[in-house]
Amino acid sequence: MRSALRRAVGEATRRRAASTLVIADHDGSAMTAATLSAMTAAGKLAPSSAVLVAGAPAAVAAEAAAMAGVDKVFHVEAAPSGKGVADFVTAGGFSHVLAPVSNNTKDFVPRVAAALGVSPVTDVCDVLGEDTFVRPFYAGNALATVEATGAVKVVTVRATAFDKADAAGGSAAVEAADVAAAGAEKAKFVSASAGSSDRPDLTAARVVVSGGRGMKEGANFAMLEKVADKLGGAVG
Amino acid sequence: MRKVLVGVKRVVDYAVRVRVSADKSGVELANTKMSMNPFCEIAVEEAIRLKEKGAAEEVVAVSIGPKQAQETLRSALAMGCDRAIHVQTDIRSDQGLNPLAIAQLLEKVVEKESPDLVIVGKQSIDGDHATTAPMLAELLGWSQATFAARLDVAADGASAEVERETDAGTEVVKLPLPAVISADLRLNTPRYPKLPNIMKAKKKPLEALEAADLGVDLAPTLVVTGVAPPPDRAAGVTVESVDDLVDKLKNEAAVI
Repeated sequence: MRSALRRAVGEATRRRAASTLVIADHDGSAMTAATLSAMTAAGKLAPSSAVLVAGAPAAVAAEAAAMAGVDKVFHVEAAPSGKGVADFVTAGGFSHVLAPVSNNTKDFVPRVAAALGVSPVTDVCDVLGEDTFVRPFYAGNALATVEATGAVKVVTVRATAFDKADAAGGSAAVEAADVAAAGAEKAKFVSASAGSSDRPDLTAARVVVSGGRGMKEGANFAMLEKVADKLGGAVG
Repeated sequence: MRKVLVGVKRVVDYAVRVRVSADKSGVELANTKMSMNPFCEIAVEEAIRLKEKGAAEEVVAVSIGPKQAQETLRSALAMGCDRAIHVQTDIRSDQGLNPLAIAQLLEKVVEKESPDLVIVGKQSIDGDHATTAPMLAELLGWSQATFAARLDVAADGASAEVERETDAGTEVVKLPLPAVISADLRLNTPRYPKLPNIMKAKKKPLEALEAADLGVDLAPTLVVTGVAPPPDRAAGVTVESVDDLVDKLKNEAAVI
C-alpha cells in the first residue's frame, strides 16, 4: 500500500503541471461574459490561470482580476500582434493558451497559433485532458475527439459549453505586460454599426427563446420577442 | 490589382445528412455527394466580380485535396477564374490535414503566384475550423479582414475597405494590400456557371503540384482519435397552462 502511494506521489511530481493563459475577450471597453466560460475550461487543466488583457484599457484588466481562478492578470493597452502574443506565451512558458470563441478571437487567436507554429483547436465543447479536446464539426452533426500533440495547445472554447466562472471575488494582481503591438498590417477601424437589438448575444445568452412551426405565422414571433425581453434572453 | 488568388475546398455537399462511420473513425464519405464549400463559392464570386469591375486582371483558384479536387477547380474556372492550381494530397481533408499545414501550403502558393489579394471562405462546412485566413495572413505578415460582408478595393489597388460581421453587428475596416480576406454569407450571391462557361473551363490551364514536394510538414499535430454523433436531444415537454410554464421555468430550468 505504501509503495503504491509513493509511486502515485512520484508520478504527480514528475508530470509537469499545465501552465494556462486565458486570453480575455473584450469589445475594447468591457470584458465579455464568454471569458468566464473560458476560465472554467482552463480550470479543467490547472487550478488557476494567468489572464492576458490586450488591446483594452485598465478597467478591463480590473474586470479580469476580479474573476475566480485567476493567479495574475497581464495587461497591455495597445492592440498586440499575433507574434507579440506568441512571444509572450513562449517567454512565460505557458503550455496552454485558451480563449472563448467570439468574432474577435476567431480573428486573432489563429494568428497567435500560426506565430507559435501550431494548429489551434477551435470551438472546443469539452476538455477531456491536457492533450485531449472534443470539438463539433460538420455543423455540429459530428463530434471529434482531438489529441493535440504540439508543445503548446492553443484552444478556443465554445462559451455555451462551459458554465461561467464567478465574475467577482477574485483579487489577482495586474501586471504590465511587454507584448509587441500590431503594426501597419493591422486593419484600421473606420466605423461600427451595432445590430438593432440590445438583446444578449446568442453565443453567451443565459436564456434563448426559439420558435418553430407551433408559432403558425411569422407575425406571431413578436410574442417570442416579448418573452425574451421578460426573461432577458436572446431570440434564436 | 494584377492578381487575386482564391482558395476553394471540396467538401460534403451542404444538403447531405452526414453520418459517422461504423468504426467511429470519421464521417462516412463513401458515395457521398461532394461540392464546393459554400463560403468558397462566395469567395470565387467576389474575385470574379473584382475582375469584371476592372479591379483585377487575373483570378487564380487553388485547392488542396485529392484528385477529385480538380472537379471543384473546374467549377471555379466555369464561374470565371482564369487559371487553377491543384495541390494534390490524399490526406483526409475534413480531419487529417491540419490548419497550420493548410496555411503553410497556401503560403507556398502565394510565394509562387505573388497575388495582391487572397480570398478564402470564412470556414469550411466540414472542419468548421475558421482558421485558414488568419493563419495564412500571419505566416505572410499580411493584413486580414475576416467575415467580410462587403469588399471595396481602392482604385489605386493599394488598400481595401471591408465591412465585416462582428458579434454586435458589423464594422468597417480599412487595410493595406496585399491582404487575406475571408468571405462571409452576406458578401454576395454566387452565380451558377452557364453551360458555355462550363465547356470553356475544360480548356483553361490547371496546374497540379504535389503537397509533399512543397517543403511543408504535413504530419498532423492535431489527431482525430474518434468521431461520434452528437448526443440525442432530450424530448421537449408540453405544458398545459401558462402557470405550469412559469413553474417549470422557475423550478426546473431555473431561468426566473
